[in-house]
Order: sequence, then C-alpha cells, then structure tokens
Amino acid sequence: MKKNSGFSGFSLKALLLLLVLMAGGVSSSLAMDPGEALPDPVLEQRARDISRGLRCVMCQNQSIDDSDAPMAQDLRRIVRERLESGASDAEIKEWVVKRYGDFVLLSPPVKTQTLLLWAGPLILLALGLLGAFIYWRKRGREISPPAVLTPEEQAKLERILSGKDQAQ
Amino acid sequence: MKKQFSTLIPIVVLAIVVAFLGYRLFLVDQGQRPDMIPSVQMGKPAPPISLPPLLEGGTPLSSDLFSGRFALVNFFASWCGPCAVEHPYLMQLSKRSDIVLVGVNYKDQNGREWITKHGNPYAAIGADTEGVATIDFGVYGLPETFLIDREGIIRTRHAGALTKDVWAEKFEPIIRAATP
Repeated sequence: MKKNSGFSGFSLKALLLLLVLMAGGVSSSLAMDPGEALPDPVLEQRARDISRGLRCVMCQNQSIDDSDAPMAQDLRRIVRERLESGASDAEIKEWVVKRYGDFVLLSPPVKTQTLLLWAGPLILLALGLLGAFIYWRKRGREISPPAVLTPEEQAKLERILSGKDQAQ
Repeated sequence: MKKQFSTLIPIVVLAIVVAFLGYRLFLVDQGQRPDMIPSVQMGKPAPPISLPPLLEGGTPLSSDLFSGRFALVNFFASWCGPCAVEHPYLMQLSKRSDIVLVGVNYKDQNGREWITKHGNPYAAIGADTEGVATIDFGVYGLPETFLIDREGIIRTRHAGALTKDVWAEKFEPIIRAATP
C-alpha cells in the first residue's frame, strides 16, 4: 500500500484548495446577479455607483444595489440600459427622480426645501454651543465670592478661629 | 426670576418635541405613515402604457383604451395579499360605465390563474414582466391604483387596498366634479 495513495491523495488536496479559493472569492454584494453586470468595466462601475445612491423604494433603507426586491432588480437593469445608450449619471438620476421624487436619492439634493435638512444639525450644534457658552459665563459671575468680609463677620471669624467655640 | 426663566427652556423644547411627535402619531392614525411616498406625478400627464395582454386572446393594454373616459389603473399581483382584499370591490367598480378599469399585473407567474380563480374586473390586463409601466408610474408597492381624467392627467393615487371608504373620499369627488 502506498503512503499518499498517489492520484487520490493529490485530487483531495486539489479539491480542498479549490474550495478554500472559492470561499475567498465570494462577492460582497449578494443582491446582484453576476449576469446583470455590463461587459464594459467603466460603465459597470458607473452603474454600481449610481445604484448605490438610489433608494430601493420597497425596502426603503437599502440602495437598489443592495436590495433583493424585484423592483430593485428592474431599476438596476434600467440604469444599465440607459448607461449603454449613452445617458449621463445626472440624466439617469433625473429619470428616476421624475418618477419617484427626491426621496429616491439616498443623498438628498441641496435645494431650498432640503436646506433645513442639511443645515439643521449645524444649527442645532451652534445653538448648543451658544447655550453652553452663556451658561458658562453666568456661572462664572455667580461663583466669584465677595472678596471682603464686613467688620461683624471679621470679628465673628476671629472669635471662632481663636477657639471660643460659638456653636452657631 | 431670571433663573426660573432659563430652567423653563428645556421644558418648552420637550413640549415642542412631544407635540410634534403627537401630531405625527395622529397622522398615522389617519392613515399617513412616514414610509408612504407621496406621488410626485399628481397633476401630470399619465405615462403612456403599452403592455402585452396577460390573458391569452386578451386585449393588449394601451392608453388608447381610455379614449376620453376616466380611467382607473390598478397595479396588482397574485402574491400581494391586499390585492385579494380589494378584489371584490374592483368587481363592483367594473360595472360602472363612467370609468374604464384596467389592470397591470406586475412580475407574476400566477397572474392568469389568479384572475381565472377570482374573476376579472378589468377591461384589459397588461403583463408587466419587466416593470416598465410599474416604474413609469412610480409604483413602490402593491396594490396601487391611479385615477386618470379624461384629459389623461393623473388626478389621484391610492397605495394600499382600494376600499369603499377610500373611493368615496379620494376618487368619487373628482369624478363628480368633472361630470356635469
């Protein structure tokens, strides 16, 4: 009997190696079917970037790049078809927004309506800092003790310090 | 006095936040949840529809069918629960002569069986296997129903099962106002 029974020993190792390599190569985006990808890598990259910025309206916290919903699949296909026909990124986003509104963009556009949304956190931070500053100034003034004792208070202090034990 | 005033501020802020959240809860009670997307196509011309028929020998679905009547476009599928709930009411609506009721069957392997089993309220049913019409109308869930007026403008839309109450509140008034 041979030690590493020649052929079968090799093929078992090869199989294990193959499995390990396959496991390492699993794509991070499970929603997309590899068949959906465009042959042109530049276009495909644009497709992925645009898809990541579009909300899946069915599963509303996912992008269409991430979502398994059938509508996400349709939109991914539409994005790629439009890219192939020469549309720009802006034109494609406009096409989707025309049908679903600004809500479909995961990064809301800066318009007058969304100005409050964008500026809100900064405004709140400024208000908070202002409030903290006012409070700090106020506290500073209140805490500063009177520097001088009145004559009665001075006498009282001396009596206590000299140990006359006026338990008052 | 000044000290008392400043301690009121957080209470006032809290009251405002509570009032706002209370208002949002009230809206939910009225049926308006934050995840409902408003239709951005209200008041705009309806996208043209051109779909192959769902049923064998059926009429293809095209906007030409509407020809100067009020049209009700209902997006449905066999895998959609509320669609079964609204179906009996659609059967009733189909009897009206002042509206054309058409259906768009979205991504459905069992559409034909479902219609055969439940009954067909539609003048025509389009099979939207690629989601073309569904996305053109900005549909984000099923069922959704659109009312298109005689000039081809989308006047109102309801996301969710179409009930007698929804019809009376949202759809009927528009048809009445347009009918002398």
